[in-house]
Amino acid sequence: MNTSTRQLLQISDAHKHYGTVEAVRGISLDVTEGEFLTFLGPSGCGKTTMLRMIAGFEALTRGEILLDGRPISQIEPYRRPVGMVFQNLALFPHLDVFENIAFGLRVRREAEAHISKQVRSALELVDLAEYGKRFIHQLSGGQKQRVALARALVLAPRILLLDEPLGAMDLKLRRQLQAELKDLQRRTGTTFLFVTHDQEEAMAMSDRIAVFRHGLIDQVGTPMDVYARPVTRFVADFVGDTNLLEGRIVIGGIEIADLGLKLPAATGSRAIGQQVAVSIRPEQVFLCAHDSSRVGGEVCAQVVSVEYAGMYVKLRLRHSGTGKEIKACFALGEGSMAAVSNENDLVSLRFGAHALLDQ
Amino acid sequence: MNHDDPTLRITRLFTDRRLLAIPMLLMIAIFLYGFVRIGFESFTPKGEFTLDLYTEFLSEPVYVRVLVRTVWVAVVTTCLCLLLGYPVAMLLARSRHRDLLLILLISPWLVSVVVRTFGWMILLGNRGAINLALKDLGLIETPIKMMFNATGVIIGLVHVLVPLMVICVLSVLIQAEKQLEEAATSLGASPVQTFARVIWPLSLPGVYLGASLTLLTSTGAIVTPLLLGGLRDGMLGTQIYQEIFSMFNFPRAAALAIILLVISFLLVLPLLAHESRMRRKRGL
Repeated sequence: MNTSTRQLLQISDAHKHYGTVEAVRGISLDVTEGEFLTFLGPSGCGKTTMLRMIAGFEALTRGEILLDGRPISQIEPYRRPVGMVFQNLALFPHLDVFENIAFGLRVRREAEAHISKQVRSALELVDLAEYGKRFIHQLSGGQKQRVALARALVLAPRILLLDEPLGAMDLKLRRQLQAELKDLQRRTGTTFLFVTHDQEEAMAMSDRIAVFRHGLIDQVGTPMDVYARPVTRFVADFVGDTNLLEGRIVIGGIEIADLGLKLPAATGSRAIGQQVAVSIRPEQVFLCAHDSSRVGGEVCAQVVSVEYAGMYVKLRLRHSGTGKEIKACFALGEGSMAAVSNENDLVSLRFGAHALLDQ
Repeated sequence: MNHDDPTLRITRLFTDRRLLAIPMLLMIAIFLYGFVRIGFESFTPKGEFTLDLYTEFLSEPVYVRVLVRTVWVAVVTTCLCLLLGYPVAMLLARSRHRDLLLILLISPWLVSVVVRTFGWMILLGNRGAINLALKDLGLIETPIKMMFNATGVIIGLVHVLVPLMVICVLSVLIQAEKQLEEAATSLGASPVQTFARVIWPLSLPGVYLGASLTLLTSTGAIVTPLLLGGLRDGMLGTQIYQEIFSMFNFPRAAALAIILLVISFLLVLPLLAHESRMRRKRGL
């Protein structure tokens, strides 16, 4: 990582145990100032618990979190320069929009003139300038979302924690709010720590994604890293769609028994003969017209089903030799239609990029 | 299905929800009849319309003192109930053993008010347990007068009414989202500020309800003031009791009852008005 960027938050060996249940089992992670980092994982993977420990709603069982180099456990939760947007938004029903946003400033006993100036600019930031006098129940879902953001951002927190705030929205609104959220993050330069179980959402917004599994982080990286070079089976499977295949390290590459095929690969420090899993994304499976004189690196397969999904087409294929099912996906561009086949057609397959996975 | 089946028709007749109007109307009729009768009685003690009973009451210092004492005792009782009950409600709202604690809380209601009040007499009397203990410890020379005065009445009433307040406040506290407190914390509010700016305002409907019930119950209380307050320092309730059972002066008792009604109403009205204003604001 670039040495000129500052480590805003350093999590080292964080643990959280509830009785015998280990929700977080040793997480270490650095958060860089100004980045949009997403905790991605299925429910119960410890991502929200980790977020709540940063906010101070849960205490660490073991480990430490440093905020600007200072142990966070020494700072009372309400004194932490950390903002939060809750899953249910948790707006105050007894206050109007203006007072909701002014809440943090009033608690700090800021001067009235300062408060009203700050709140007004926060309202403008989220495009709700005319809504100050409204009560929460008079707002739409998207507007509530923006009030919750303004309420947290008006305090200029060092880091903003977002706990699945888009979880309850319908798909279209989600997509729109994702864009707004990302835009807001860029404009304010605030560090965002976003929790979600939606991998598409994570890919769309994040600078980096930390993939959580069973209270541990499997992989941290840019969306492209995590997608193209997953390091575990779980990451490969959870982020995007993939073909998980069993293979064995041989000289100069891997032999994939599922395909009866040897692929050249950088095997790193893995020993010859070692069993590995291989992930090949559907769009890295290429179709060619069937040719009985099989060229090396190609396998023969039969089309099981064809599914059109607008911009692209998804195929399910069955390997003619091993019977292994293979998923393939093509963008519908020029020429590609020619390769798209009907059910039961025999085709030849070639494979592009793949990733070796640790078990 | 055969719509002319007689059993079905009878079943339908008895399960018709409109039937519930009958007991309701009966209740309203009886209440209204009593109310009108009492009002009539108080305005026509000698067969003709007159305000004599009211002017007589309000120009007699002894009665005015009874009136003031009634309001005073009710207000102090309500404040004490709130002060004691609110923290208990907060504790219960957060407790994992809420059900068990609730049963403990209302268990005194299993014992009749009369019995409980006698219990207080044993504790509070000049030769009661508390005074004896204090004397034995050398903390006091002469017994503290805690009975047959307003203090005794208030202690007795608070004991009876605290659970009511706790339940009213608890009912709104458990509805309030836990995350609102966390939201306040994340916005920099200390626990005290969180209470003042979030928990307290959100619990106001419960507080108003609890206060209304304690005010109404304590203004109209009879047994507790009769036993712990004595006859000299009476309240409106005991006064009515005396007018009926000692003086047999029904018209005056009726006038007092009307005054009691008006007083209770005036005490509760501002609470109800503020509550409904809040509701409208929040769109409930």
